[in-house]
This record gives sequence, structure tokens and C-alpha cells, in this order.
Amino acid sequence: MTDLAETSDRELLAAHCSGDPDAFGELFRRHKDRMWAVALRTTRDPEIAADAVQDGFISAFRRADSFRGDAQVTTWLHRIIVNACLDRLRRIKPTSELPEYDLADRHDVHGSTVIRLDVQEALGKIPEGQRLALTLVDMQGLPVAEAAEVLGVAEGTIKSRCARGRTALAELLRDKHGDGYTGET
Amino acid sequence: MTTPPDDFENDPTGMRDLLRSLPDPGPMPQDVADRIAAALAAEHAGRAEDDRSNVTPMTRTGRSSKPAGRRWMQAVGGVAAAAAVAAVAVVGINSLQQDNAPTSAVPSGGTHRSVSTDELADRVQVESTGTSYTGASFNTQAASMATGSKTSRIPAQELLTQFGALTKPRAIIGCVRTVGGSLLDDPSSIKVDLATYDGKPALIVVVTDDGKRTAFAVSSSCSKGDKPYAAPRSV
Repeated sequence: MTDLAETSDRELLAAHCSGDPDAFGELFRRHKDRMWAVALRTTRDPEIAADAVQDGFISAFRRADSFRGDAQVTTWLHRIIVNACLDRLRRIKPTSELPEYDLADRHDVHGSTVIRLDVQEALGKIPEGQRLALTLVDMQGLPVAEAAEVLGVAEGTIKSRCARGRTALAELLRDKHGDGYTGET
Repeated sequence: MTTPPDDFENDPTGMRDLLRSLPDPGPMPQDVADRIAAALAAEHAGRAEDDRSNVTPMTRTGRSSKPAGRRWMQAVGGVAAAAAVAAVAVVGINSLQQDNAPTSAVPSGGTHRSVSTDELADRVQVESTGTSYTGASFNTQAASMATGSKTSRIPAQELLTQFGALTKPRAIIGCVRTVGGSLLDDPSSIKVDLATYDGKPALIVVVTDDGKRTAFAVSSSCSKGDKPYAAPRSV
């Protein structure tokens, strides 16, 4: 058997397009956790995230031959997964508001945890574009250029959205926690 | 409107560091991974069937749309369907989850295919009787299923969730082929009960050929690498 683990993403995708039945499975194995993280952070709901990741991977499976090769496969996957998340979210609520989903009970948790929960809540209140930019850049750690490609906007737009999103978040948290919102422990 | 790069890089709000400090969501839960792997395997199955027959693509489960035509390996490597229930052990979806050596309970008999997939699909009858098949009573239960006619008792949506494409005759043909290609030489009927076997979701299949009935049970993923729950036997 070909050692799929040593095959590049690009080669795997090409192999999938050529009919290799195992190639896409390796891509899934390789990137499922990262895609799960971005989906969960985008939707803030495990059920919606699971559906979105499934939608996204199925879509990627079918549209593999649309991959042009001028981007990284992970960028392409991120884009598909994020779009699947947005589709799912819009199906349940045609606004940028996120579903109410408590990551944890607010009782009996440390102050820093409360702040983290409030960050999640605040993220749900800022405009979608800003939230997505922050999710990709600040939470997922994507380079600005890659985030721009995922969201189909200019790099400057990503920077702008991040900066404005951070400011909006800070204001929302300051309203709740005063200046001790940074969550440092 | 744009924001000066300095605001982005320096982040006077401290939010970038706060967001980066948030805990990672962790790995994808196993049940979600299994479910998606099964859905992808069902895609393989559907495409393999489409490619083999070169006819209109079969209808797939709820989230699906028409597949693009593409060459796939002739062997159905990883015929599987969505087994979404967390309790269901979707084991060894060959091409997606692990590298199980293929086990075929019946010799494939080469590539002899005297009957087209379309013709075979016409001979498939799918039902969901709600029967709980067991290892101890399988022969009797399978024989009863083959001769009986019950109304499906499980909602279609639930079946789709558990069995995905394997509710469709053409995918079922692919599944039977992974168990034993010779079963498809020229059967008069292929009767399938979407049920459980020893408590696990399973396809119960009875192939009738020239009056002789062969029954077997496979998991709801019907993966090439999976050992059938009940190997083919005369009933």
C-alpha cells in the first residue's frame, strides 16, 4: 500500500481525483480536528458544527476537481468548511446572530473562565465578518493572507475587520468586567 | 474604511492575546468522525456504482446532490453508509478509518457479471421490519424475512440517518458485491431488511438464486474490510 501519511495534501487531492479510494480518507483524517475546531468556533454549537463539517467534507469530496492548485489544500478546505458553517447558520437564523449555546455552566467557575464564556458570548454579538476574521486569525492562527483567501476578501479587509472586531469585543467585555476583562490569571 | 496596520499588529485592546488564550476545542469527537467517515464512504459507494453502470446517479441521503462523474476503482473499496448514531460502532471503514485487510465471506468468482447493475437493482426489495436478528436465530429469522412481506416500521428519515445510501438498491448491490460477487451472478431476488443484528444496526440480506436462498448480515456501513456479522449461509 502507498504510504499515504507521507503524501502531500496536494498529491492526495490529485490522487482522489484520479480515483484513489483512500486518498480523501487520508485528507479527512489529517484535517478533521482542525476543521472541527474552526466549525465549532464559527458556529458555537457542536451539532451545527458536526453537520457543517460533514457538509463541507462531502462538498470537498465532490468538488475536488475544482481545486485550482494555486492555494493550499487547507485554505481550500477552510473556505469550504466556513461556507458550510455559514450556510447552516443561515438556515437556522438568517442573521449574523449565533445560536445560544453555553459552553459551560457559569456557576462555580473561575473568573477567567467567566471571561472566556463572555468572550464567546461577545463574539456572537459582533458582525459576522469581524467574527469570522477573528476566528480565523486570532483563534485559528491563520496568516492574514490565508484568512483573506478563505473569506474571499482583501488582506486589508481582514486586518480592518480584526481590528474593529477586537475593539468591539473589548467594549462589550469592558461593559461587563470593567478593565479587568483580559482574563489574565 | 481601513484600519491602520499598527492597530492590527499591536492590538491595543489586548483582545488578540485573549482570543489566542482561549482553549482549543479539542479533537473531533469520535462519533462525529465516524459519521462523516461513513458519509464519505457512502459517497465512494455511490460513485463506484455510478461509474460501474454509467447511468444516472442514484439518489443519495438528505444532504447530497448529484455527483460529478469520475473514474473510480472498480472494486468497491469502502462501501459504507452514514451510521450516525453514536452508539453504533462504525468499525473499519476500510478506506477511511483504518487499513483492514479485506475479508470476503464468499469468493468473488472473478469479475463475471452476467446481469447488469440496473437489472440487479430492479431485483432488490428493501424493507425495515423492525426485527431484532440474533446470531442464535438468524437462519430462521432470515428465512422468515425472505418469504414474508411486512410493512416497513421505521421512519424513512431514521433509516436514511442510520443506513444512508444503503437504503438504495444500487448501493445495496455494491454491498452484496463486497461480501461475495458470485451472489450476483443471476439472482432472482435480493431481499434486504434494514434492521439490527445482536443489537447493532445491520443489513440483513437474502439472495435467492434458482430457488436457493443465501442469507448474511453486515454492518450498516457494509465496509469492504468488515467481517459480516453473519457470514453467508443457506437458509
